[in-house]
Amino acid sequence: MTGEYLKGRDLDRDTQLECDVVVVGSGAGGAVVATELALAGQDVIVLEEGPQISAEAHGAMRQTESLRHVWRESGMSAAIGVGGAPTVNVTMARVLGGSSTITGGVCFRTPEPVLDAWAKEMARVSGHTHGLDARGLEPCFAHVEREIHVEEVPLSMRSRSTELFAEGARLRGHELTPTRRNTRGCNGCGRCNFGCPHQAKLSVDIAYLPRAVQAGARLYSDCLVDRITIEHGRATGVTGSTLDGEGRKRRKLSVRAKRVVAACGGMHTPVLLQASGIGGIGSLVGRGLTLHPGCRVFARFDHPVRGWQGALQSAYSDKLWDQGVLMMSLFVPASVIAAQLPGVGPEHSRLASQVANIAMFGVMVHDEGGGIVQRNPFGREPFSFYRWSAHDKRAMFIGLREAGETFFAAGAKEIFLPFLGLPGMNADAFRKIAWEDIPTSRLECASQHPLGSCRMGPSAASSVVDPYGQSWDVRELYLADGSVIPSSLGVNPQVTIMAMATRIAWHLREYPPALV
Amino acid sequence: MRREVRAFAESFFATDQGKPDAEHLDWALDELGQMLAHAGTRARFLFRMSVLTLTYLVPLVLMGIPRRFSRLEDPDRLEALHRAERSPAGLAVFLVRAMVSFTYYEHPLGAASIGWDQKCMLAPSAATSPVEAT
Repeated sequence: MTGEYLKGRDLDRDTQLECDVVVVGSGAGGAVVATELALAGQDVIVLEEGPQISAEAHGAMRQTESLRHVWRESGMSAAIGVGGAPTVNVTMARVLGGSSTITGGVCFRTPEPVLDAWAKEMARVSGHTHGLDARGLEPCFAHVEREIHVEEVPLSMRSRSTELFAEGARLRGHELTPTRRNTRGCNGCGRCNFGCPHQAKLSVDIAYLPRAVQAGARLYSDCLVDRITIEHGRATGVTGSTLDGEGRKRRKLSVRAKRVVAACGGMHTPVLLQASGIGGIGSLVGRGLTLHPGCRVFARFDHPVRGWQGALQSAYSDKLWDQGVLMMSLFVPASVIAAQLPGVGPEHSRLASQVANIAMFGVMVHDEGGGIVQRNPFGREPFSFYRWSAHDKRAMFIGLREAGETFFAAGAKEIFLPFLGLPGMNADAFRKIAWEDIPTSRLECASQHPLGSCRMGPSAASSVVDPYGQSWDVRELYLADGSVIPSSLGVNPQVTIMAMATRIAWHLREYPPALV
Repeated sequence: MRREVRAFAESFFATDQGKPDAEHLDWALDELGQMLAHAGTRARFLFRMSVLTLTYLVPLVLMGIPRRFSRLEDPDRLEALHRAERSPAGLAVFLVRAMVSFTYYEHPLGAASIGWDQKCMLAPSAATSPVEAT
């Protein structure tokens, strides 16, 4: 049986559907669950709020067109910093394939210390780990890595920007490690963040969803789910609307299902639950959000770098991982670099004209702090607030200092730190910075990893879902995305989310849904 | 709002030769309008609040001039933005400049001004980069 791709915008009447499992969201979590269950013979419907965009269409878009049509809120989503924390720009996609379409493709397994902590907590409360440990997750990691073709980025694909940082790191006594990414036939064109035009990045719309359709799943793009229907404590489907090409509501949509899987991501799954009456006062729904806040360091050299030529994220340094910092190569379009350079008028223009001489590297914090996601009664996008701990602040500054020193070791003439309005500085000025006096609220911070807002755990008292992703409050409601990750990871979460989704899907495969 | 954003853009992107090309700015502002139209209510609200802050509060509070930003003389505009960047209004400057810059530097003239060939951003079938086309 072959399923089909359908566009909600093409449905010109109210629609009622039925299936075994309805999956809300088609990103790294939803696509995996949908595919595994469809392959197991279950009747699956996937509902995706965003449009369906082909590789050719991705390639034909300018970056700002991509921001408009692929990125959520044109890339302007933010978690408001409280208690001295910076406001964090949280980037997400709203498209078939979810944020996997706009990541750099970096693949890390969950670090062992993190898995050990999860297992320890599970065992402490419930007496066993439920397979949520290194050994239990190994088959899931191996399966996912095979499906998305995880491979090491060759040295030849590094950008000059990354090479310069590697030279500096070598002089400071450590080597960069090549990243592993889900690619096949990548030519290092560096536009991963705006959708791969070559189908070389094996995001889930390439690696998973076609197989789901082949196995009979029905995929609906342009469909916004407003709430989960619940009868007698059991999820029985979802209701929402089809959307037109501009994202406006068009027709009513309802799906009756024996099982509901919410996979809308760390920011929107809690919103869906809250809208459905799950998670009132005192609930953990929407609590515990972690972001892996990240910052960039720009370094100006006296020769061309042209860092946009080469793989976007090709190497990392774990030198500071024990201190909660991962340093990762990255590059953003030159227009974004220019936008972030300080100053206005001729002063800014003179700096911007040297964008080709600028190298950059990223610093990401394994955050301890926590945030909140709260449904916005006036709109689709949630209110989100983010707080970070003293450890997080310290870790960020340690990372920025190391990145700056590394670039100076490589011969940088000037460093631009990610603080609002802070001018560039030479090595002497950089070493005189009184870090403790800098208000962290002035950090220019971004995140691509909203996690943990509906955590998985051993008991209803400490978590939103059980160790297999089922809601503690509503039977046959499962969550399978970044929201269930029990704690901050400290590394890019794509593979962890997919492995957890695989684990949940395999569990659901063993326990087919009963009749409603 | 367009008039105010245009005033900021003229100041942000002014060079030693003067204000940026008018057609280039028109194009960038049209594109920005499209981006904001897709940005959603909350993001548009944030952008508007930032623009309002720079339009009214910054001239008044940081410069002591009770006039909207677009009615300031060019040197006063630059000074106002300089002060705003280092003040608690820095986030508003950052947001507005970032949004305008995305479109401004995407234009062939903007890309050329920063030496960006844009090759990595082009579709595989694109024949020439915007820089080569200029």
